[in-house]
Amino acid sequence: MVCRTSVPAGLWSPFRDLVRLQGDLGRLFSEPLRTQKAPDGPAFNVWKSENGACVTAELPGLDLEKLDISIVGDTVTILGQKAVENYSEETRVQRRERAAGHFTRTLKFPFRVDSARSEATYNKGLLTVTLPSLEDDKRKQIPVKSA
Amino acid sequence: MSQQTANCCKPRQEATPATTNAGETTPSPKVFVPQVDILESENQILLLADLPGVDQENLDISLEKNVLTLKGTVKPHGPEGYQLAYAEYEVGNFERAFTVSNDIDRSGIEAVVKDGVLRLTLPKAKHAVSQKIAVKTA
Repeated sequence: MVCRTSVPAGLWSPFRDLVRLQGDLGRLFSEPLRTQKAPDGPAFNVWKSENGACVTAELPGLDLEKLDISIVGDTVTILGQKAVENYSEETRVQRRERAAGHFTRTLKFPFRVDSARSEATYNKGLLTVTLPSLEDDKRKQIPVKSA
Repeated sequence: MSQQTANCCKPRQEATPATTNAGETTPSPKVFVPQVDILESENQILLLADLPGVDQENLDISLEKNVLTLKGTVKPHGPEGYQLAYAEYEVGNFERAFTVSNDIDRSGIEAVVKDGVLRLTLPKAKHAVSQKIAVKTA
């Protein structure tokens, strides 16, 4: 799996690019079946309907206390952190593949989101955020009158 | 406990040909390899696996000879009344196999699933826990 070797930031190091390349190649070959995965971060799916949109994400082990969803106009920002496993110094880490740490995702919609009616649920590691559109921004049919 | 068997990553194939039995065959769902952390301490090995969409009812853990297999079945999920507009992940089942050494106390294996994360505790057998040998002066 991906072997991360830390190179101190700030110092120029010819190895940094090599280390990054090694990491990229490791990731490339370690996830052969996951398609269209967003680079470095949880994967989101976006759903649409007449009344607005819905965002779902695979976020197993999410720390709900640190989850922050904010809506400003047509922009939704989801900020979160996955629960970190604490272990003693004697523990040998044999494999570490699961993503950890913070993530942020900002999504822009073609309508203003009604923040008062928006809802979020978390179940079995799946986050679902329902984002209804403001009434004014909903699709309207214009009747055509014959002269 | 660190080796992964090579044949676990392939998408599941339909076992029976379409000509047998009546009715149409359902397309087999995609199978993904879950990402895991393996932490080994003095007395146990802790395996953490990301299995979004899996709860204890549709998770199958089996230990056959020395191969530990995790199989998580995920029902197609998605908000009702919505159409998928943009996708970064696909819904599918999870499957992964590990080779377990003989030093594991098989009767003491415990599994807990919470928030789509499996915590599998594999205690080491008594004889496998390293013992300090006191050196006496002659």
